[in-house]
Amino acid sequence: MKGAREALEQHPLLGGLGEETRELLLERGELRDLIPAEAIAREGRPADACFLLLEGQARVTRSTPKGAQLELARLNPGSLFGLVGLRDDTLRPATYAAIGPSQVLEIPADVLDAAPRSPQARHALAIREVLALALQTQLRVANQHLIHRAAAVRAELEEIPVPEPDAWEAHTYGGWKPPRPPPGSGPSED
Amino acid sequence: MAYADSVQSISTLEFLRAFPGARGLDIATTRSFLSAGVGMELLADTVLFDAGDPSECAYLLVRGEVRVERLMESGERILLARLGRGHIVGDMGLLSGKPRSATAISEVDTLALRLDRGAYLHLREQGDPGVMWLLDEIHRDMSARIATDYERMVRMEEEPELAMEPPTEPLETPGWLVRLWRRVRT
Repeated sequence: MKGAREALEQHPLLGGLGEETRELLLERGELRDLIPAEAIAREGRPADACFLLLEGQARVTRSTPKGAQLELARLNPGSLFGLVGLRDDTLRPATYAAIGPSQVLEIPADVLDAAPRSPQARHALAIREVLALALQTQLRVANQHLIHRAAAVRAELEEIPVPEPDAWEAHTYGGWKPPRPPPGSGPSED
Repeated sequence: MAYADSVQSISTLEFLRAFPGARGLDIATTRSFLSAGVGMELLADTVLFDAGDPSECAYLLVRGEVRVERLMESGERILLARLGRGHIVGDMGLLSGKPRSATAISEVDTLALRLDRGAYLHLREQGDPGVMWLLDEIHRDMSARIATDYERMVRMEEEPELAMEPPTEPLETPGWLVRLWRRVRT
């Protein structure tokens, strides 16, 4: 747990929580060690927990009607993910899987529950704010990815040169970044 | 493009119709939440904010429709979302204060509760239960928008000619199935 405690302290969003709130996350959370390609959470299932990637890398994918898996984002240490649907009945819109050996802190959704004005309410409120900020990050990455793909698709359809994505690698937010751009349309990750 | 707007009061009933989730709050909390914001009547084609603008407030849509779009390098605009009654536009303004990442324009005459960051922070300081409710609404709203983006990315791969088409409605979710799953898990 020592590594997880440090990761929480140094995290750009979670680090802003009070020490007591961070300890609550550690107490309620569960460390999971993952082998390569192991699914952390699957598309189409209810969201009953979210995750903080402590070590390794993970991939976000969604299945296509033809049965393929489309990569939507890459996650690096520090990514908070699996947040969609935590506060409503939305099913998970994507699958999250480890790329190599990885470790996550699994945080159950009920840490967000608290009766108004109860002693737990301030923890729940602070965590909800942090998760809302993480969701904003995720939405920005998704929008960015959508815009780049739309530009590339349009260029292909109109047979004009594919526009250079403006520094794909620079679009990293809290560990999230769009996946590798389509071949020939930008710098490689290597 | 017009920039006209005017202050307009919003009744508790109107607000609760738009945001049914707020019915769980007691009436005094709902009223205090409403009085923390300013009702705005926005004419069709009013720019609520532009990408790059400083963000200092959010709009809770009580009536009407707002489109959220981004300018692409080609000069074309891509529609990111079309938000109606019961949605929140510009929540970034309350939480992070980062510059706006997109442009929001009213499609039709729209009534919204504008909540400034200062008012949000004040409610938060007071431990107002309305803040917990609002954060849940923001969470739900963003969840739906992310799910829609993902669905659209898949569609784009399968049917490239639809790349610039507006997003579809957020995913329909069988709520009963989710509740059953949660009960089984616990």
